Amino acid sequence: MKKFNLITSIISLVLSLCLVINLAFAWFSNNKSASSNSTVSVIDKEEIVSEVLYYTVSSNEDNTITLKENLGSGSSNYEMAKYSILNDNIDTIIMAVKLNSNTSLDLSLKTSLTADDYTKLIGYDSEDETTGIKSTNNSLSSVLKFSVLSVESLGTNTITYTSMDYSSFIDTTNNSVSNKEYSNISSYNNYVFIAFDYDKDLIEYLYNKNLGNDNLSNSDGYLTYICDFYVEIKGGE
Amino acid sequence: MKKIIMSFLGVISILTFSLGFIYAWVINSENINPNITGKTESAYFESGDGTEDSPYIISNKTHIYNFAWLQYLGMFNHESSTTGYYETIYFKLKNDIDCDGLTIPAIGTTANPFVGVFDGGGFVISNINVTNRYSQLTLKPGSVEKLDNASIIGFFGVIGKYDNESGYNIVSTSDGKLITSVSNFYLENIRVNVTSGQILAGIIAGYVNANISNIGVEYSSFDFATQASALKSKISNYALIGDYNSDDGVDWSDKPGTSIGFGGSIDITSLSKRVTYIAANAGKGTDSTNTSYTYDSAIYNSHFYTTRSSTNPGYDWTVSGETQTIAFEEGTYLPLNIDLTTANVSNNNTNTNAYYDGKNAEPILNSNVGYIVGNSSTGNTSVRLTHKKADKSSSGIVNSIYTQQAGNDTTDMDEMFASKNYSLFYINSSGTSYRITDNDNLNLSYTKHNDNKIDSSNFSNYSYVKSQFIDSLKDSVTEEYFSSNGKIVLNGILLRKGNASSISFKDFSNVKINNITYDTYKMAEGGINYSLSQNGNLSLICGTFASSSSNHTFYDFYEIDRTTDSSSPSAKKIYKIYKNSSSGDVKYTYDSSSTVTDSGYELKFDLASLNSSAQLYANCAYYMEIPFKSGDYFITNIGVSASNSPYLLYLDVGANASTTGETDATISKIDFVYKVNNSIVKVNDDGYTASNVLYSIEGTTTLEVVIYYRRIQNDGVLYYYESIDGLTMTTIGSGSTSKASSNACESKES
Repeated sequence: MKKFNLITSIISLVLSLCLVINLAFAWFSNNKSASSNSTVSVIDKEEIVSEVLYYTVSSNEDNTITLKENLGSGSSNYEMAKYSILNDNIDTIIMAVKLNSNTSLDLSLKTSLTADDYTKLIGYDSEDETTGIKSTNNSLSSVLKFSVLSVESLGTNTITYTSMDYSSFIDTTNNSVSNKEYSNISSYNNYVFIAFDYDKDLIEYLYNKNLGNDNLSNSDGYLTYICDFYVEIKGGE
Repeated sequence: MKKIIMSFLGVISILTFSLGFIYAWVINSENINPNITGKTESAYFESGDGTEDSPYIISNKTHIYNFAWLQYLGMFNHESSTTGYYETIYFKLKNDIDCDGLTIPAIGTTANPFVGVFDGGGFVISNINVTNRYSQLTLKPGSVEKLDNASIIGFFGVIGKYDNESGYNIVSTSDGKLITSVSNFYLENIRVNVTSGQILAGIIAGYVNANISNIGVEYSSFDFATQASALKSKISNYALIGDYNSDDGVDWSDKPGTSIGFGGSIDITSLSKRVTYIAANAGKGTDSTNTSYTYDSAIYNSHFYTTRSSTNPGYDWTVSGETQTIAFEEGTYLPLNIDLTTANVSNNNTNTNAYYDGKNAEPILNSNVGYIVGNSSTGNTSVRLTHKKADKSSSGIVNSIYTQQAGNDTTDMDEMFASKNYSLFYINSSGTSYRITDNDNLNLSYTKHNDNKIDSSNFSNYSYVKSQFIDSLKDSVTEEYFSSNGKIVLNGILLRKGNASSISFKDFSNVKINNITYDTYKMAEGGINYSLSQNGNLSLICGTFASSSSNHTFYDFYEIDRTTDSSSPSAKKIYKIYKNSSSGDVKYTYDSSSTVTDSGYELKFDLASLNSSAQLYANCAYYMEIPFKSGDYFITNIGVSASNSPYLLYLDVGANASTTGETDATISKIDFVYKVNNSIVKVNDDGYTASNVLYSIEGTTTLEVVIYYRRIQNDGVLYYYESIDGLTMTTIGSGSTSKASSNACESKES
């Protein structure tokens, strides 16, 4: 009987511990600091990201990106220029994530787009039956490519990188959509840079799948895309 | 013991709590929601807006894909609400495009035909599949759940309008100008996949009702699914194209296997075969004793009458005497242009033809330009048709090319041309005479018409003119029938009206000329009546065969005036022909002394002088291009003996002009092409040699059938099929070789 009570106690303890761990994890994941009025103890959790700014690009040659503005003077949001298949211009933008400390981290780009929807232009499919108004906010994930830069050096308005390998959320060959994860990314002078650009192949794929779509057949028109992904940063050290 | 255990658990609890705290702290994460939006402009091609000045530019396989699907969806078929005509969209190929196995539907369907202008710029589209099997379309617009109206298939499906029952007119602008055109590109490694059911298939196009030209196919194949059958009479009439609107104005002048010469609007060899078939079925029977039998061939929509005699027992292609002549008596009228394919007129060395045996009326083309009209059966008052084995021992028509061989023992025309023993002259539309003959030692005095010897060094079109000239003279009757060495048969017509200079007209019923059918129509007797709907050249080859050069004559040309009194037309003899080179206008004189002095007009042809002054050499063949203005004409010989009227060996009414109205279209220079040093030789490249073969495919497949075609420069077109279950493939023309394996056709090596 005593042996039974002991086992019961151990199980209760384990369950209690699990509960405590989860509560602690959840609390600290969503709060930057904890304090108590009744005690002197205050714990502060340091924020990883100090600032996020966007820069347009003047040139990208010899592994060096020249920004149109100096680092630190970018915009807090960005509307990418209108992509034209006819002109095939590169419209790279740089998202500069300034960290509070120079560190290494894990970075993920996660999209809400699914394999069932990535070929759809919802501007065509989501016409409001009552109003007749068409939404033109399509998935930016469906036409975008991105690269987390491996930075070699920084200038006032230049970023020299060792590699710039673009990825996208969509694999048209396997008809799949997946998040992209980058491990142990080292910041440079507290910065992590992510380059975004239109993916020509994805746009053409999307267009091909939507030949005959009313939005596409209007040569004077254009399609807009809203951001349907986020960047998750997990701080290390 | 219990305390020990409890203490241990307490320590574990503290440690676990601490670890959870530390972990949660250490894996600190943040999410960034990028404030980014995007915008894309809608477009399908590299550039352009589809106008004539700014055509849509196609430069990669995506553009090819877009082109095909947008056409399928009808995006380019904008019918003007005011004119009722389609607006024309222009496309241009920018460079070679490797489609890397891309599969597309045919460009243009019965519902949405291609009615624009596609200029391929001479570039190559390679490695592409065309299909009307929906399951094979791995990449397609999301809105397309099945393929409709796709029974006509090729790289292009339907070019110009198509109607399964009656056929549409050729698509044109409101001012009548034809603009639909597909031209100047090459296909390399193309496969046309065809589903089961009724189809019409070609490699370049399924159906053509417009202009297409300068298109080559280097390596190609058909894949017919089980139970594929013909939409109309055949699955494919010509392999390169499924079919074309031959009834309503599309002219395929250089179609292999059926046409001869420079335009081929009138094929005298085929005329000879037609007469054979009609004679075999219209009363000749087996009665060889009746010496006054008249053929009644009215059932054939073509009428000829002749009197049989012991020396002229009728007309028989396979007669052992190797020479046949028939005189067309009064009442005879034979249309110049019929649908030779439908009537199955071919050089098969037999007097039988199932189409004619079935008493089917000759299918007169809407584009028929005139009739041969008989007059009499005797001597210099008869219109006579002759076919004769070409051998130096022969006489008559054969002298047109043979007498000048000066003792050479050449026994057939091929050898004769190879040894340069022939006498050919070319008189162009300016009246300038050239000697094409290669052998300077031929027995010619060179004094008649200031002829200048021409060759490739002083006449840029020498090779073309010569080769076409020779091809026009040849008839591909095979040597199996004739037991002797000769293998060429010459066919010609004598147009002799007798001494009477007056022209007599006779009423004929159910006459169709230039797409108009007349219940009753008056035509002049004893020659050829023809009509030109636009200014253009009359091209002909005539052969002089008399032994003396002093008495040879040329033809008499008459202009027929129906405007004054259509029930009683009049004929005016033409003496001189003047042309204004700037405007293209043509004027005539109608007596021996008058001239045209109007500014800008130059004398091009002095017909009277050419006729009366013995200007033609004896025993020679002449190719002439004579300018005429639009109108009705009659060609004959008046007041000549039996031996000094030239044989008409070839006639093309309206060369370089439209013969059936302003909306005519042409097919030209579409061919199986070859590679040299791994580069496609283009149809307009120097040294390119055209092939002379097409294929018709008919039947219903019982199994899947794959047919490969590939042309090798010196070996003609090779083809291969493992099994052709249910189908029959017939070679049209010559220069085709069946291979025992697909390797010979599939190999890409040159």
